Amino acid sequence: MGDLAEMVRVLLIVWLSGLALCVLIAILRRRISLEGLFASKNAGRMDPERVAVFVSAVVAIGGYALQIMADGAVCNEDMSYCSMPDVPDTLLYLLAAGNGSYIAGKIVRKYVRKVGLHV
Amino acid sequence: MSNQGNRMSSREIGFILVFLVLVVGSSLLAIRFGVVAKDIAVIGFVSVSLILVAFAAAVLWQIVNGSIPLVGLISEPGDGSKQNLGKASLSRFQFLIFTFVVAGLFLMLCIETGGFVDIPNNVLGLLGISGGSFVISKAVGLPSGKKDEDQDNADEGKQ
Repeated sequence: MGDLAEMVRVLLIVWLSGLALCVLIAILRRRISLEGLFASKNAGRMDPERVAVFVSAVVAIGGYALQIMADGAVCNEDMSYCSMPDVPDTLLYLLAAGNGSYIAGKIVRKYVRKVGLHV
Repeated sequence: MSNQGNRMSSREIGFILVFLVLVVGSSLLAIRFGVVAKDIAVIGFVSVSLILVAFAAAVLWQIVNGSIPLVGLISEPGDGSKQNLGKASLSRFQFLIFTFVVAGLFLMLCIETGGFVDIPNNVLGLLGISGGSFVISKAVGLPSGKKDEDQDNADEGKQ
């Protein structure tokens, strides 16, 4: 039963990788458009807070993935309980700050558009 | 029309009969070879796994051959036409990457340790920040409600 479970887990990760590969190929072949990723809907120019959230997300998730690759799972002595390692608080704060600035930027831009100011 | 209906019902009866024969046959084989409950659990696990893997493979195959389009995966809703899907959404893109990475790391650790690993709260927090940001950005991006429209109309009327 253990071997079967292992095989299913391997198949699941192969499937997930296949799905990720499909999305990547679709992005590279421009079937999934990334046009306007860093621009707000009506302005059409690049917004700094969007770049900030993108960078913070890549750093947070990349940093966590590197940490897992280096250390692996956190287990107790008899290996009866294992857990994913904790995300460092710094990365969480970074991500929260990036996403907070993104949301704040969206709200401010919407308000500015509503009152008719040009920023 | 009625003939076609009769043919369909005879197919259904045939399917039920084949299914019953399979169930009875496999039960007789199990009794004949002295299969125990543990073996039945293994056979059940293999059957369920095969069905799930077949589902997963079917979904992946339909994505590869284009039957399931990925065109609007990270786009904002546009005017509904295929050509104009709206611009790419950063929050959707971020959510997509986080889901893939965390799910992939979770599966890798499961393979490494040979069992399910626990997910700590701050990893859920990581996904929560991303998901929450997605939801809030959608809420902020919605057009103003009727109250605002009425106010705008009133302002225009005054001018």
